[in-house]
Amino acid sequence: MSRDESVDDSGATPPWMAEVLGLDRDLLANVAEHTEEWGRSLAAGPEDASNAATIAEATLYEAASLLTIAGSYWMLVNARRASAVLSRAAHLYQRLDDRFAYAVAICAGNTDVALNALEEGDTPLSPSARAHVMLALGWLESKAPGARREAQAREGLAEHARAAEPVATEPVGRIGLPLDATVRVLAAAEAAFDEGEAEMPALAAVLHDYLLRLDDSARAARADGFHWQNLLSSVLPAEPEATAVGAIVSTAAMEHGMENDLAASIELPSAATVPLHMGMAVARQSRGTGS
Amino acid sequence: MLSGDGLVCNWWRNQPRGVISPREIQAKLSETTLRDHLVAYDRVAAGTPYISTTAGVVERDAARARNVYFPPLYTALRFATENFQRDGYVFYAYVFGLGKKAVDLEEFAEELRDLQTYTRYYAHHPEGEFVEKIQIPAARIEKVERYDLASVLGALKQLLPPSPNQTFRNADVYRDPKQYANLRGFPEVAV
Repeated sequence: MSRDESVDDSGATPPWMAEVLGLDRDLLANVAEHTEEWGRSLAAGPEDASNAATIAEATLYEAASLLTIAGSYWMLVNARRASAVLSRAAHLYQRLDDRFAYAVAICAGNTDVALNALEEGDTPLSPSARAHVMLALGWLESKAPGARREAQAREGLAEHARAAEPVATEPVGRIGLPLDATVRVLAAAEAAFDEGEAEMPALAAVLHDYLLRLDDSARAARADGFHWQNLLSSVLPAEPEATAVGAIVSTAAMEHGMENDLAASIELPSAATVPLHMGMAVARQSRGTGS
Repeated sequence: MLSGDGLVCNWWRNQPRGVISPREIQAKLSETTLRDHLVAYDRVAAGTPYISTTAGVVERDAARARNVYFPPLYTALRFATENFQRDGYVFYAYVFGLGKKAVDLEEFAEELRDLQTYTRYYAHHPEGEFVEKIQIPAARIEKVERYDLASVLGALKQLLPPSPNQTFRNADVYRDPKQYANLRGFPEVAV
């Protein structure tokens, strides 16, 4: 299926994404705007060092959460606005020492926050935290400034993949897919980044599996029409972890000019492919900017 | 509402004569009707015997041995104002939960945010939901806050948290739950 993927000069996201998810763009924009304002009101002044210490950790957590929710809604309306909000959320999560920061930062097209993943070393990590660190390293493989950091990311990803083996079946992140689902996509993305066309079918296969499993949860949430259409479901329309995966695989495919081929090869209902297309928008936005 | 019936469920409120019987209540409270209330509300809204409430969420960050608390006002105000589109009222009340599933017992609310008890439902309802059954009596409603949309949006625009335009306190009828608590070793809840 051919889709208009382009984000126009104003940052507007192609309307089909909200449409196939059964969501009203005006409602998305309204709730996004006021949720963003609420989050910013709680985080007001956190960059000001003199004020930072006075803002309670719990308040910062609520602010980060609200900005992430707002960013998820913005992604279906205006990618540029989403990027700005999510970047702020990522920095708040980073201050809170929460590795969810990595997934959120990738959705913002941000590499600054992700660079911290290079320092994780052999820190003991929960399966979810490990998944987030691995996402950051997967993002850095293609986005890190400089060959040394790219090599560091590659080496770190391999180490974390080994450490993830004993807990491969553990559910991770907000959606609770097995850790192994993320590990497999990242490994296939790395191979496709290195080898190009020859590895693209393998990437498409594991990505299909990931999106299908993800959509099991998302579809159940969408079936609850009242909560879903009123944006009251706990499943966000653009889940940061899934969008991050979409951004990483898109970046790998873009290295060989094959992102549209990759998207076309995924035979799933349109709604299930939104995380990939959203990630592609992130990857395209961040290409060339280095940020 | 504050001094009389309290908050009643849609099923009761929509009865032509305003009357429901204990036998009907017993028939209404079931796993099926609760599930429908939670995941098919648009289909059963007019006849649901349940009342959704939000109590905020405490998430456990095991890795750092800390609890992360998300207060309920954002969720409550979004429900009350239909997503920042109209004026709204937020009720402050308390319900009794058992900490276990007790769908058939009208007296106890269902704690849907409980990860152990309601794993099936929780996946889509992290707003810190307690579901009360049939009625929240007036004696358990502390106050009602009225939020005018214009002032909510005005405050947010200035990056200020929303505050109510008017507060209706239920001092004559409300009964503070602390006076009924018999938790030993918790002097902070003794009145």
